[in-house]
Amino acid sequence: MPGVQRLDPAVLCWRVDPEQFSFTTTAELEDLTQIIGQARATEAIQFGIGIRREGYNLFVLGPPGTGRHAIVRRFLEEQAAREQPPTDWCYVNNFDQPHKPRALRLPPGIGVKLRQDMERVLEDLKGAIPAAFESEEYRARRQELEERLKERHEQAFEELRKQAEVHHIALIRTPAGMAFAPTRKGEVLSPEEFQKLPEAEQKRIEAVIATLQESLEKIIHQLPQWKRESQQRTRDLERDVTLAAVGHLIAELRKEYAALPEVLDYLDAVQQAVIENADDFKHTEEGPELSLFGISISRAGRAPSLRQYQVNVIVDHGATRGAPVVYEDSPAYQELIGRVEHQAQMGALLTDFTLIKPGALHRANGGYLVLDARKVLLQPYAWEGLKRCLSAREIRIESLGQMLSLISTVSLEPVPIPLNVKVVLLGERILYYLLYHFDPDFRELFKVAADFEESMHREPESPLLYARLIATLARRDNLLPLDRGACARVIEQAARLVADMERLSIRVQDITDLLREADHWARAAGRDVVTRDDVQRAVDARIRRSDRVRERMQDEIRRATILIDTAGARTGQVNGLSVVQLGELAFGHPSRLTARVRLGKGEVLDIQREVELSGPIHSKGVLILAGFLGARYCAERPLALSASLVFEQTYGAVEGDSASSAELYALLSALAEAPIKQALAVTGSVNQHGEVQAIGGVNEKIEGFFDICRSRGLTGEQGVLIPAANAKHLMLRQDVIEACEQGKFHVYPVTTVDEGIELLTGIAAGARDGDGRFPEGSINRRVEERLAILAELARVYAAPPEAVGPP
Amino acid sequence: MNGHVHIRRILVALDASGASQAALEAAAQLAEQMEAELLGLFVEDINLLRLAGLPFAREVGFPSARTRRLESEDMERALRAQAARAQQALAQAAERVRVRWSFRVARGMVAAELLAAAESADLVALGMTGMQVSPRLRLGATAQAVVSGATGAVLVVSQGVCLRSPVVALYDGSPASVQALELAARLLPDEEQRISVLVVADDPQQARRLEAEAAARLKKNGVQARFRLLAEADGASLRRAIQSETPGTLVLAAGMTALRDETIQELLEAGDCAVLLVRQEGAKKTKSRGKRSRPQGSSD
Repeated sequence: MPGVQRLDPAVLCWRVDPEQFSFTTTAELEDLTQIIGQARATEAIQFGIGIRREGYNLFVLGPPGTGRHAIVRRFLEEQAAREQPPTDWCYVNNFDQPHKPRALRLPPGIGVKLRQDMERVLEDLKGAIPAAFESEEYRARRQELEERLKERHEQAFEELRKQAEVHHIALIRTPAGMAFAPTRKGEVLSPEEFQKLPEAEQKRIEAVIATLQESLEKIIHQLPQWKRESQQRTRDLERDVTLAAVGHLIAELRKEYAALPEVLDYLDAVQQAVIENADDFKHTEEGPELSLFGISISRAGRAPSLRQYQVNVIVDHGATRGAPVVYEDSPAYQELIGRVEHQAQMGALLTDFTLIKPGALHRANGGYLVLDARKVLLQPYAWEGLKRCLSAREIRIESLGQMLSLISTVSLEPVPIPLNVKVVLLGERILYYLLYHFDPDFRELFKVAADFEESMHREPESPLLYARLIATLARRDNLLPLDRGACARVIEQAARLVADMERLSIRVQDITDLLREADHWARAAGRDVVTRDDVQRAVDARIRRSDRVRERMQDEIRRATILIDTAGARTGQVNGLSVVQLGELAFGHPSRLTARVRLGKGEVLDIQREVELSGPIHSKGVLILAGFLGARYCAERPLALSASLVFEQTYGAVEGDSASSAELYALLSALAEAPIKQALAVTGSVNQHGEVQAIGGVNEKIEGFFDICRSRGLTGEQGVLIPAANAKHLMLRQDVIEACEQGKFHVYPVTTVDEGIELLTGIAAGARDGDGRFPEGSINRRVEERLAILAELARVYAAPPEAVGPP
Repeated sequence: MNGHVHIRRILVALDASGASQAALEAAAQLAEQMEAELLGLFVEDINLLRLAGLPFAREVGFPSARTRRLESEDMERALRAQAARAQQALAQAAERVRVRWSFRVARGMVAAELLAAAESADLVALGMTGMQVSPRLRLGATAQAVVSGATGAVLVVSQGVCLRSPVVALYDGSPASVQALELAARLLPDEEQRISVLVVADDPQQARRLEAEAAARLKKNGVQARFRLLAEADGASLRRAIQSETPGTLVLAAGMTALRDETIQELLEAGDCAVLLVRQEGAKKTKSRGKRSRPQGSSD
């Protein structure tokens, strides 16, 4: 069996050759206008923007820093520029139901014009109406009406008085009313005189007075009606006068807005209201501010009754070109839906349609609204409010209190405005999948998902494209241009960021940060071009800033507080490798893994798992080991083994199966009693067939072990076993590669456990021959024999006592 | 021709009407100015009492239009209550301006009782109308009788009016108009005094003479006045001239040739100012009237 060859140092990292670039610095490169590596997402965005159907709103998912915002904005603005600006919206008073303000849809720019026109009309009316009521015409006609009423009264009483007089009867005012009395020479007959009259005369007088009284009653009954008639005529007169003042002003406006029937309706309503409320205009002189205990009780500036003729323009597209693209940074419920504000007046909160304020949906109506999904979800009820507007296709302004039916006091209920907007939500993937899973509305409303990648495939032309991306980013941030070497180093780092020599990171944010930091170091060094060294320094400095824990850890290994051997050979002990992620820094370090075996019932005891310091994936790896062992060595015998495995000196939870191959090596070493070279460290997971499988963080793991070895002095024996499948992920540090080139350090790609154990023990693993037996002396033979012994022992101990021997 | 008028006793005709209340206020104002005494008189209308005694007497309520039986006792009670209210109002008004006052109740024909009482007073103040039914202003029968029958000065006030500037007086040189001028000059406190004098004459020459005369008389009282000369004055043009001055208080002299009774009545019925009608002393018409008055409480 040929041994595993170490990897050629040339394949431990993908190097970008600066000589492939024809430019000197990135200043010569054109801006990159295309979006690289996001074909799927951009197609989805284009589709989502293009499709005009209900529910085709977009959810842009992907990690932050991939330039989602900029890309979405760019596409939206391109599309919006091709569209017409949407209509203006105004809220105006509803004169019939003031608590339900009316919404007016107006062509762009007309909202403000209508507001100004109404203000002008109002100013004119403030002069014209009082003037009309001071006119001679009005006074004369009013006096005439009053006179007519007086005459009518007088005539009625006068006639009655005359009728009475014919019979010598007087109409007399009594304390509580009126009465008729027979008179003689202007004086009322006394009862005695009346008695003296002949009986017939008395009867006649009584009868006459009775009829007169009836007439009097009738007259008095009619008085209020006459008064009402007169008042009605006065009102009609006032309406005529007001109409004369307001009519031509409104008529002028009607001509201007003839094409807008809604406005014409509104103007009619205004005219009617002005006529009904002409009194409001008669006393508009600005008097002293009314206040009580220092609190103003007259509403700011204008009499409340005249506010009802204002026009509240909530959306003005007079200066808008194309459809609006709105990004709402703080999508609280009321910032989205709009709100009705209140004014405190004498301790009461008052409102009217002029206090309706628009929300982001109003501003974006007819265009596009971009929101951060996380922010929307964090704001109470914003998500519910947004969904309701989108599914109802209208914006209904309600306070949270109203929406939750917490408040029953009457507030405004503005007429909803039809909504036609495309919403683009930006969020992490997890949010998309959670919403998709848990919110049935979400699927209906956000039918287009645009999934952003964080990395892209490396193609032959990629380095140049990437160099142009670097040039664009540097220019955008006013950074120094980069020379070829610096560009190459940045691109290498882009590959390292995704830990893959065949891919490049397209998290623009990370690249931009690297460029900014490199720019800083270049400027600090007094250069006007960023060089490879500056980029390297930026990378190193960033690691340096956050590697306090790593340093402590390596220190403790060096000082033998944490026991790690990097030389010699030990049975049942192997160097595993683990990765720690702390903030932005991930680093690897070796851990000692030990295995002990004895007679038992076939369980592989993972101490880590027993004390609940291991995650489920780790446990899974250990159980696979047992599966492998049993199947390969004890297929037809009981596995009479009890093995215990432990990560020495770990005090926290262990997760991941990348140590499962190391555990298996330790176990095989313990069973075969073959010492393992401590100069090697191992990573890789293993399956039940003994194949070594890929793991994550391979670069950090190799570097972690390398750092320990180097601090103790490289012997030339040291190296790391990695799964062969991870070879393409290698983007190792320059110093590691240099050591490999000098033969002081080695990286071995391993595909099977047999390859690994051979490397670690220096003893052949051995394959079964034609008889199904492993070669003598091979690791596998030694393991199989050991297990056979254990099985036999187990059988002996398990037999009934009488079979063992006579008592 | 030294017609110095002294007003020491002012008779106020009191009833339950608003005009009577205005007359009381004006009288109190005048009493304060002249340091005069207020004599309140409430006349229980004999006509009402007789009416109430009639077997078929009915009252139609106003404005309720409900017909009620009238009883003598009820009427007596109602009149007594009105009298009490009148006395209270008088007491309040008089005490406010700090003048002596007395009050009595008489029973009889209202105009006759007032005229009889007026003989012992220098001025009668009364409302233009009694209680009103019709909204139009009309000089009431009682007021009419008093205006034409009184021997002294008469002050007629309608509801809502009081004595105020500008005081407009008519002057034609007659003794009564001299008295009117003198009274006009002293009618209001000095700080409020603004007087317009309309000089009525047959020709411009006479007018200028009369103006000089009037100016001299007023100067004696330390009053400056505005003069306006009226050459040919018939009733209508006189009325227009007066109204164009927008008088607050109008002082007229009875017996001026240019001033006929209809004109006076028209001026009164305009109702927008208090009208003081002055009669030349000595021109008293003497009339004998039966007195059925009984004294009531009086007080300072």
